[in-house]
Amino acid sequence: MELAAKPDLLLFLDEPTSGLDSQTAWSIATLIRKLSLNGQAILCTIHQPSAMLFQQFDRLLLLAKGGKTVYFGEIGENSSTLTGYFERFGADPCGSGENPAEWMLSVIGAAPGAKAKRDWVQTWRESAEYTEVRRHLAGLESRAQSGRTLDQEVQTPDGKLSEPSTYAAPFHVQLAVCLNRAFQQYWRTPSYIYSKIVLSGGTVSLVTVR
Amino acid sequence: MQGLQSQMFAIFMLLVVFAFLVYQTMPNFILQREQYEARERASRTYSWRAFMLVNILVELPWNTVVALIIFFPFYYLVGMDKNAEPTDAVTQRGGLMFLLVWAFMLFESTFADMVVAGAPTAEVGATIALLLFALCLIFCG
Repeated sequence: MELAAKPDLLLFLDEPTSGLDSQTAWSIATLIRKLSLNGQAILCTIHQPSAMLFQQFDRLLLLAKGGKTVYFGEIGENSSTLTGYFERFGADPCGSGENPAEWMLSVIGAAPGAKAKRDWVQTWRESAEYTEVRRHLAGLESRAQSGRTLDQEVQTPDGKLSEPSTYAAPFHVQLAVCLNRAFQQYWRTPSYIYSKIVLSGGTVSLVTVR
Repeated sequence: MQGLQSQMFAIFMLLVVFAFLVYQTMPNFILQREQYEARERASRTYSWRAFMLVNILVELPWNTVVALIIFFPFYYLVGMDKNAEPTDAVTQRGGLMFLLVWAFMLFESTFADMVVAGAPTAEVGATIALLLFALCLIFCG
């Protein structure tokens, strides 16, 4: 129901698939996917996803005990970006039959009976991915401070949408296309022009009758 | 003298059509604006400057046509060309009169756009336009 109002910023889902059978969980995941393809930002927590379902997400934020970031970034095709990251730092390679979601938990030592080979929190802080994410965030922050994010401009209710950068087409193209359309509209629904002509012509003929 | 009075009254009657032309223009503009605000501004297709400019420009050619339709019967049937015959200035005065009628029609559409752009609905716009038109008549006439 909430979706009908189309949330402006973010849709937050807390384990939408828990307690569901795999069929329903899959249909939920494809629905979420469809929404995100239509421009809706979605933040979703999940546990024990199947490998297929795991593929549906764009980015993963993996937190270790105590809320420490272990990984934040793309999952990639067949989870290759994610597994590539862990394998680069000495994790056992993820077998082709393995579920990357479960595999990554056992790698960081969160799965029962698993033991982490190294301090993955520390590894994340030293990785190139971490600096890349920091740089990206700093870029977003500076844009937000100058009031230039796209979302903010959409949400202003008054006519402050006139920034040149807001529109894809330059002003003269906008003008030419709109003008063409307006003339077409007048030509195709000529009742307004007819009534204008009839009104003026009628007035003139009545005024001039002696 | 009586003829001159009749001619003056004919001009006055012609000017009264102003209000009705404004009323015709307004709902048209409101429709365009609703569409723009609901769809095209939200998707940032084009800016409001382009929108306003287009709505002003699209009226002008049609009002020029209407100015022609008004001018020819009006000027000659009311007999204003006869006034100019003694001083041999028929062409000159005819041209001036056409320019005045044309300016009147251009004023009509831009005036309607000006008033209705600040009004929430066509009805409110019409009320404001009527008030302003009455002021025009009172203080110019």
